[in-house]
Amino acid sequence: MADVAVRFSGVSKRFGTVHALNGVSFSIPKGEVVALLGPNGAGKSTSVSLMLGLREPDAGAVEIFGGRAEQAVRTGRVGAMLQSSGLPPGLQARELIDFVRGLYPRPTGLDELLQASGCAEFASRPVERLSGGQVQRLRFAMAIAGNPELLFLDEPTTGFDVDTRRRFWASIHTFAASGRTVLFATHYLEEADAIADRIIVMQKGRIVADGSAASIKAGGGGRIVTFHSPDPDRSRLGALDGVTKVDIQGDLVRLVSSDSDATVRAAVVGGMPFRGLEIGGADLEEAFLALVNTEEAAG
Amino acid sequence: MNGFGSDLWLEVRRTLRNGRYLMFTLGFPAGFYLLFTMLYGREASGAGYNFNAIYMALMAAYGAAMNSNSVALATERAGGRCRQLRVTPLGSMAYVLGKVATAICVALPALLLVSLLGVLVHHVRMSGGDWVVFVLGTWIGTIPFAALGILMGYALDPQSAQGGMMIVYFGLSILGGMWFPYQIMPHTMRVMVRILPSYHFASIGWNAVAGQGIGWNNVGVLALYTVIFGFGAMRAYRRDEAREYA
Repeated sequence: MADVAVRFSGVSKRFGTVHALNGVSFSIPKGEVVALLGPNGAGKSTSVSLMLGLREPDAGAVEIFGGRAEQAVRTGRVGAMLQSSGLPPGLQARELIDFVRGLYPRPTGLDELLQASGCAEFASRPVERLSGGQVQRLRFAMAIAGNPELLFLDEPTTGFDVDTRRRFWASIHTFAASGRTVLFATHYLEEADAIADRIIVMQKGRIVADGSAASIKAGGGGRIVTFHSPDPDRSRLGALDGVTKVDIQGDLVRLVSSDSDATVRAAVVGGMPFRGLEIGGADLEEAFLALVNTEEAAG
Repeated sequence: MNGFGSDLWLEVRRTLRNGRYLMFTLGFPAGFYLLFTMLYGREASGAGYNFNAIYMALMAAYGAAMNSNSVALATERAGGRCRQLRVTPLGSMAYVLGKVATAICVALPALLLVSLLGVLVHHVRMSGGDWVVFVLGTWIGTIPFAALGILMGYALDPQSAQGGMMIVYFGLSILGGMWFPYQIMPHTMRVMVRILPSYHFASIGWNAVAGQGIGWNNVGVLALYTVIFGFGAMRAYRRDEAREYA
């Protein structure tokens, strides 16, 4: 128990008629870097708000370090970077960071913090004159100012360009390397793949997959079967065993299959002409789409 | 109550740096005071100077306490700032109390500035004791208006905050007898006006100027309003928190 940072046990939360979370259970051991991945409305932000004690679950239990979420926040063990949180104008970046540091019992040193978050270059600028990327870095600095054991990031890189995003990931890697627990919500698959040890895929308030990026790629989307075929017939290809998706470009056929062996066998038995057959793993995006689509069809 | 002191210090610094604050809470009352007393000063007696100085000082203090938070808070709230602080060890109670304390702190310069102008420019004279009663009494009397400003900041959305603020601000000050003496109001109005916090706030000022000390009934009514507005502010804050993070 002492090694668990976050535990959800049968957590449900509804807003009016919408089930934002529907019986969600998982636990995150200390030191793990976890991505909460899903489309908008999947329940990611609701989960984060429950973990921060901003809301209470309708059913089930949320535990942070074996206690109440609010308690963990009050004692400074948790840091968070929330979506679209504004900054008070009329202050320098440094003043704001220093103020937030002062709220925690064991804060990170100011200079170290400015370096780690990449805020050093604009530390004495008023917050209302910062660019979008700088504001995000400042908010990251505020989130880690208290030297938290557990860090929540809710879609931290929304609006970043590619370069800024990579630099931001590097800061998170540095932070997580010291054995701290990080949980971030995102709808960028690339981001989940790049940072997380583990990915929890959510859809419509439920967990649809939970594991390493590799296991989700293997488990969720199955395999990709590609070959060349003269005059490919979409309906015939779609009817092959195991096929979940058909792409045709000229004579190049690309099939997503939940069972590539069965698909190839069916193609051979059915006498379908093909050459240059290749079988490969689905990428995370396809796995993700497959998971989400399966859920949609089922739900 | 973690971090209350540093939160207060941060907020006061922010407000004092804000040009809008300086203009509305210091510049306007001081300017209007000088303008009015220049225009009507010659006809007014020494008592008239007193009246002008006092009513402007009251307006300034009350306006600063109420206005410093409401509109800013409504805007900040929409930007999600309160939420970010809620996920730090700074509790929500400390946060709201910090706001009240900030409003009271930034009301003091307005009160002192206009009083000082009365003394320097128009030679308003009171005994030292009456000045102490006047300044301390009216300063403490701004507390319910600080709470009201926060209540409105949480209850109104950013678009309606400015307009709503103006209505309440002018309504309370005119009806409460800060613009013209209570004595010239019609009888029925006088009775109705007695339930307003602004009437009791103004009374503290007038009594001090008249050398009558503090009216404890005024203090009692203002304390009651502080509880009502404070309770309302806390409720509005909690309700706002409940809906802001879906």
